[in-house]
Amino acid sequence: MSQLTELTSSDGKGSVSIQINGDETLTLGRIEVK
Amino acid sequence: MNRTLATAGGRDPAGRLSGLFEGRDTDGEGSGDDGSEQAMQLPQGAPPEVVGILVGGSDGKPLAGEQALLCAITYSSEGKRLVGQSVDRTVSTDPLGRFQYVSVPPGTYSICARGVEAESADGEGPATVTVKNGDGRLNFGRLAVPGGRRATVKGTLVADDTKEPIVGRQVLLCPVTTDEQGVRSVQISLDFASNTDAQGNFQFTGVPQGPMA
Repeated sequence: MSQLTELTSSDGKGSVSIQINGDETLTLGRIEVK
Repeated sequence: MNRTLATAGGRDPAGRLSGLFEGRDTDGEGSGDDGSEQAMQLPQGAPPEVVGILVGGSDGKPLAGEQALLCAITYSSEGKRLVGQSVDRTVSTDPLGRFQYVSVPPGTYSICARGVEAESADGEGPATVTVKNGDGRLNFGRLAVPGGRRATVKGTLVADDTKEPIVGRQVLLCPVTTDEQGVRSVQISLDFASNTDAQGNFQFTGVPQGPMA
């Protein structure tokens, strides 16, 4: 059974929300996953 | 607003629709349709058709490849306006934002896209048409989709130890809400789901405004 894990900040600050403003491209870059 | 439009026109020998989006072009963009009520005719007894053009609510540009749902408008016994998908099929707009429904049963309809009703370009709220037998072709004209501003979100998943790409992992982009007490909640949704490719890349398109995680 797969498990969902919310990606969190690597600086230990925890959850991260992305604010979408529209008509743009957001590049999150490299996300390291354990 | 509620339009019931007169119709004319016809099909060419190959059976294609002719004059479907023809009309005055007042916006100077050569779209061939300004939303004006125009006279077109289908052959006698042809089932009613509904056509129109979807444009972005923020910029007025045609929305290509967008699902345009034909939604039935009904009213409850209390007079509440109800919107529901009425036809068990959907159509997508062409590169010029145009959509077409054929063989539309009698009823009152609006067009829904991106989960909301498309609005008349003159800002008078959701546009509706009432289809009756023998109506021929009804033209919504240009319909603006509110909240038309959409974003693309992309990134790359890598393993934190090896720094190698993570391939074939499903990534979800989910809306985030915060209640009055400031409690943050992530709404699990499959609306934006992407599997990472061979390089670990994922991408979501058509993301609406608001906080996501």
